[in-house]
Amino acid sequence: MKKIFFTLITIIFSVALSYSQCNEKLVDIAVSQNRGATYLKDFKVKLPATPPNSPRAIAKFQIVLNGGNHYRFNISKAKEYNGIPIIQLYEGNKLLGTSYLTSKQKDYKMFDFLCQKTGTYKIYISFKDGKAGCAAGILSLVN
Amino acid sequence: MRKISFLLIGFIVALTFSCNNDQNPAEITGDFDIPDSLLQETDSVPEISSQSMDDLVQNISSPIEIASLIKETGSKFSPELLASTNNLDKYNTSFKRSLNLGVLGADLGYLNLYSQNRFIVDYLTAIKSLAEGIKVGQFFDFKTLKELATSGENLDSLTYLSVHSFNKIDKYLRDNHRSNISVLIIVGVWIEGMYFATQINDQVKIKEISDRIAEQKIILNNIILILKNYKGDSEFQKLLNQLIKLKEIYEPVEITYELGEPETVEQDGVLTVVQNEKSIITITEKDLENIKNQITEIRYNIVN
Repeated sequence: MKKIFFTLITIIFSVALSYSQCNEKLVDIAVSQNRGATYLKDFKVKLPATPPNSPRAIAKFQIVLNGGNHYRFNISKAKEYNGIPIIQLYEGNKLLGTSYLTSKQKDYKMFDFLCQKTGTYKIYISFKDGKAGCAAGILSLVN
Repeated sequence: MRKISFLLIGFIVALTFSCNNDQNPAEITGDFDIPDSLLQETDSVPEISSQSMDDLVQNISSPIEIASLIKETGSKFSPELLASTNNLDKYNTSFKRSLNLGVLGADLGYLNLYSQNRFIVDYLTAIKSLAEGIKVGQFFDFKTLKELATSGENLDSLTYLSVHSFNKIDKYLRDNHRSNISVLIIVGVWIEGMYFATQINDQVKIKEISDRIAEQKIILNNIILILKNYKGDSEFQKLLNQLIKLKEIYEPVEITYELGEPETVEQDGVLTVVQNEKSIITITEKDLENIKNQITEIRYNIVN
């Protein structure tokens, strides 16, 4: 009985740990999906679900990008959450790039940005339809 | 006994899955991560406005970016650009350790991009010593970093681990109200990056590099703004004075903008955004010379 008990506990913990990605591991996963580019920064986000008809929760980060550089923004979600992450790049209030094109209703795992102007930009990370989610956004330099 | 076992298992299952679903990712790892937008509402540390701090931290260019630009120009690896690792005994205060941790971090970025493994272990050892001196050594997995450097394989992983370690240190220091240390590391990285850029520009005269130097005028203003929060400390004040002098040298440098709308194109499934708004830079050889001299002086005071 004792043997079965400990075996069960071991299995439960192993399954639970392998299932969970909403931690630092997510950054490693996101970076590994981004070959050919050099990691610069990561933006880890966990947001709660927002009630219907409410503005969806958005995490905002400020960065400087340098003119003449080719950047890549990619994002990975933790598999234990349903929320599909969207990463967007803004300059002031102007949307420059997004991983979700509303016009095509299409998700992209990444988008590239050919920066021509050094300055402060904003990264917004949110989840489609205001669902709860956990994601890691990565800023990289394309070599 | 069976009943107790099932109860226990049920409890463990509930506990395990509740942790997975409700805990912040950083709570699990000890690296608590709050988006900037939320920090503004919750973090009321009086020492500095969190908005300004975030602006500074996120605004400073990575040493990888400067090193990458230099490599793109076709410049060969120049070991003479690196700071010496033999001066560690002189760095006997947190102020000096932090600044030089930034300097050596930038050197490590340069070494990584040029795959200079023979130097990397030496720099990693020095960085380890400085990081431990300011109690952030735990964020570097030195064993793995050294193994990667020694084997000479998987240099991408080495670069990733190095940069990621510095990012984790920065986050940890900010979250633990040690922003003064974080600022110094960032200033150290920035000064060393500027030192590389100005020295290389002296040799190759490439517009991309002189433009990058000119555009650092924007970053310098941010740095000065943040350092002013610590001017009560004499060492900070001395550093601030040197940077204010640099700002005066930057005064004639002009940056204007040509407006344009961004274009998005999809090619082979990859979405690319091209920014059509451009910076127009006006900087003279004399300006570049003056900036180089001042940066060299500031850097000399840091590394000696």
